Amino acid sequence: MMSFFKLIQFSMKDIFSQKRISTFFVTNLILGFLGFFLLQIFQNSLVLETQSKAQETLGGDLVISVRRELTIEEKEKFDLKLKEQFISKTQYYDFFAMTIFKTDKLDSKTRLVLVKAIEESYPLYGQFKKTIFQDNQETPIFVDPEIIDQFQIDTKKINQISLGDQKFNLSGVIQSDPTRTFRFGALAPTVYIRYTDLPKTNLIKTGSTITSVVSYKLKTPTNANQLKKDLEKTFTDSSIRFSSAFLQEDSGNRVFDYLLDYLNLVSLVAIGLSFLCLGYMLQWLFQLQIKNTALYKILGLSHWQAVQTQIIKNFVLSLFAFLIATLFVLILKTPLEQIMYSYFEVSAKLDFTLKSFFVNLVFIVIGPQLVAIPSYLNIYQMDPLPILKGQNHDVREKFNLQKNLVLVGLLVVFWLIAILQSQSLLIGSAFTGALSAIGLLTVLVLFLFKGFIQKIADQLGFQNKYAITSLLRQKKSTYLIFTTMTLSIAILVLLPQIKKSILNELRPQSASKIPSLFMFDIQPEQVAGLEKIVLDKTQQKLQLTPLVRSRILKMNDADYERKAESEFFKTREDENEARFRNRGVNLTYKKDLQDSETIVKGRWFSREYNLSDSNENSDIPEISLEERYAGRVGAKLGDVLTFDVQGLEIKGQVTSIRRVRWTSFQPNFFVVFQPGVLEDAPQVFLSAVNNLATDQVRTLQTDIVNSFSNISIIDVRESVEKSLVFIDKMALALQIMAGLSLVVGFFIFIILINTQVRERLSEMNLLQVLGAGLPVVYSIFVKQFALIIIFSLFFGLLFGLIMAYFLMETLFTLSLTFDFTSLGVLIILLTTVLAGIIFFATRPIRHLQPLQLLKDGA
Amino acid sequence: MIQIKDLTKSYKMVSDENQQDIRILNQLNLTVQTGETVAIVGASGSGKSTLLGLVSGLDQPDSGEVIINDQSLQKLNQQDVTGFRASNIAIVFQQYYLVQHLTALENVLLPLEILNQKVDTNFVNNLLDQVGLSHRIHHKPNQLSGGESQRLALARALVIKPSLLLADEPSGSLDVDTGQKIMSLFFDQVKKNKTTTVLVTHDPSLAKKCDRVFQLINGQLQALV
Repeated sequence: MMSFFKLIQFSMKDIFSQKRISTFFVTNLILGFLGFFLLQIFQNSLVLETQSKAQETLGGDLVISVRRELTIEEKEKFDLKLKEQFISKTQYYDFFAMTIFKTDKLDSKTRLVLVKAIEESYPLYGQFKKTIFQDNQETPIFVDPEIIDQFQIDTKKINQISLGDQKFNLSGVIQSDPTRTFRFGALAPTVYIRYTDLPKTNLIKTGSTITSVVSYKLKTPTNANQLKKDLEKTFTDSSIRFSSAFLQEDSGNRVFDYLLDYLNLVSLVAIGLSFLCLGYMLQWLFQLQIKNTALYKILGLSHWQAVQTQIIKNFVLSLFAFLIATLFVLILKTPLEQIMYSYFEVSAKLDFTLKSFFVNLVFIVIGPQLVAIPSYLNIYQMDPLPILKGQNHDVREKFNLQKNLVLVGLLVVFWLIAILQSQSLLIGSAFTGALSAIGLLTVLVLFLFKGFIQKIADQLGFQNKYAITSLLRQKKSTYLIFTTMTLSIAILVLLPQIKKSILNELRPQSASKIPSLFMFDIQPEQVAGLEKIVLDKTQQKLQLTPLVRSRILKMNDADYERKAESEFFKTREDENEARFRNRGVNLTYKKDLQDSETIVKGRWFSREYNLSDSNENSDIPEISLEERYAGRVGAKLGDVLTFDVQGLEIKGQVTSIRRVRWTSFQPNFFVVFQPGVLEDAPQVFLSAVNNLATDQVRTLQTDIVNSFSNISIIDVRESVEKSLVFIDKMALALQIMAGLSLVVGFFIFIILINTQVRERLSEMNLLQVLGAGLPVVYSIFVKQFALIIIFSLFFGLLFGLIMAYFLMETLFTLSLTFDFTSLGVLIILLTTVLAGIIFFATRPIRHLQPLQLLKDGA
Repeated sequence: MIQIKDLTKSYKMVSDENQQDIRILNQLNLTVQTGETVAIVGASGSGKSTLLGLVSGLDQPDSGEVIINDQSLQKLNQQDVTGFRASNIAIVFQQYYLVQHLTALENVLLPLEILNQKVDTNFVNNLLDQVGLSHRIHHKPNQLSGGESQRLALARALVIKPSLLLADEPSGSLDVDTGQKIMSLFFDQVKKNKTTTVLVTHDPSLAKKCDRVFQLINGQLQALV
């Protein structure tokens, strides 16, 4: 028996003697895994960054937040519940407000800012990095550096900034706040004032958009999860959010989440294609080496040793690929970090940790071994004698239950990997499902139409008949090529559609439809005054949208309970659902739909609700839910939701589901009541003012802030411009990622066609010997590939668009926007490149050496 | 009739240090009469397969000429040589070389399909019957034994009623018993069809069954019988 050491030597010799195959194998692995690898490190870095800084970014071990003012009783209850558990605590408010800065030239500048009213003890973890201009001010205010630039503040002078009724003295700049990780796309810069100075501003009124936060530093920080659960059980008000620094939560940034989802998809594409290609290459490898393996077996290698040889070869090549991929990652790490920082202001370090090293090592080395199981089974079961005699040459075509079970097992493993990788049951299942569906469809099409296609082929001339018969008879390779190509094309079609849809969602509508100013926190008593100012300055009548704060109490009369969170594994869908369920909801009421809304199910309100006409039990007010919100709270048409509005229970029956275009900058809401229900509830108003010139925006903004300091105003155009810059950067990033998968896809086409050509060289030589001219032989094979490409293109396009629709509807919950330009460019590009690939890959056919058949036998 | 005149063929051998021409065939001459069977024996590497390659028009000589039925292959272009081969020359290989995805019947019909010739069903059925494969016509090559595969290759060669049959160690991959059976069938068929045959073999007993036997040595043929 050959020793294990000898087996290794034996395998190494095989690797070196088949340099071309080994290079293909390794290149495929490197390309496929590089994207996955980089993404894995990127994600790990983010997780590490988030974990190590979780206490800093969260502002404590356990944080309680609510989008309203916390009552003193509530705060006392929290303290009581956590007594003896915490060392220190801090509390702060944050909210949007307008700030006024008066310059020397006497004209004042206004700007929307995020105000953080903090206690001395803030932050509990980490430290501010700040530059102090003026110390020991009576009412100090610290600001983000961009405010200094925007207001062109001379920091050497004494400067005053107004917030509401209070003038603050500019004390310095906060260079970095440990609680802020991602700054890109922020609506407004932040200013910091003292907690005790907040009442002086007089900005907080009933219904103001404010977040109250109480943060605790615990004696045993790791108890945070348990305490969070205890608090959630005790405090049933689902609008209160309890956060632990030791539970993963998403970034909370919609744009960033889209980017991550897209990244996950791309990495799945890369890895999926890589696995498919790997499976195909292993089959090919097995076929190429079948005689050698049979010979080794005849010469005394046991079945198991023959398999071991392959395992060792796979292991060595995978390891080699891993090391090269690692090298690439190390080279790309620094430039990527710089790009991440300069483009997205994400300062996450791409830490190449021991964990990510081993996770990837295990994945890259184990993956090919799993994919190779069917080949190992082939080798193990192979009877060498008939193979050496030239019989049973094509063992691949034989049906084998065991191998098919292994394939099913592999699919399940891939499904689990896909879910783990995408952190989404939906996206992982959709991706694996699409993969299986395309494979099954191919099998089904070939099975159902085989006879029919063969009959048509029989009527055709030799070239076409031979080309089609070959495709139909060589089922396994046809399935593999067709499936791989269809999937690659589907993915390539899918990515730009998703990109366009995401960007379309993020990119605001045409400038004419965007309001100039968006105002919120308008108190009812301020409406008349505000209307007058707007009318005087713009000759426009103010359109007001009411906002009523509430939380869901019941759904169909059953208590709407706080969603328990699993500690074991949370998908993105679980997180989203939990977050949605556990927060309050703003209600509005209106008669008509806005431009930015469309009804997707049910019907819009037909009339005003009239309490006096109705029987309370049978006539429940109608409500309309935003599509995504309805999905996440689990409500459908006909369901009755009960809301708590300032202690009063109000029911609403879902009569329509709406799709809302959030980037319209119109006042949009998740829940809309029919008019006649909420008019008397405590409410504030939102409003948008359209078509203002730049000067008008400034003067109106200043006039409103001078009269009503609590009203927050967003200069929409400025925000849009800011977001466009980021969106364009993101578009470029998405483009690059789609490009990566395109490269992987093309590489796979090259491998598939190349292997097919090489595998069938002897058949082509034979055709020439039998009298088929070179142009005929060439034409047969080009026709075969052309047929596969035409069908793959057709089904790839079809599947890609279906997948895009499915993913947009379910994962991203956005409307699919078709990108016909990309589609057209992609089809032209694919056809051209594929034609080029066929041209180059079939070069060996143009240099056929039929004489080789005689030489092989000599 | 086949006439081989002054056929010369050399190959370039490239070693680490230099490159040299190895002359495989050196002004080789041979005439084979119609319906005659000729065996060519010789050591491995003596040039037997090279000779078959040149006679079949799959390779070009450095000099000399191959004339089959008064047609010089050297006076035809590549495309015409292929066409000429399709209708006049058949080759039986040691390794059978069957198209794996076609059935036995389809493999036999393949040369006719390439020639775009109408299939004479009776002839084909008769041929398959004669090689003992009429019950295996719908089987694929991987379902056939070595002997059956070679019989199938023989039927494929004979289906075009070739003027010249070239056979390269047709029993080389078979066990003795099967080899003998195949060769017996082979000779029955070529004699019956009066097919001009050039057989390359290592086996002297097989060679003796031919009308004439030549040994290929130093690039030239020496008559043994």
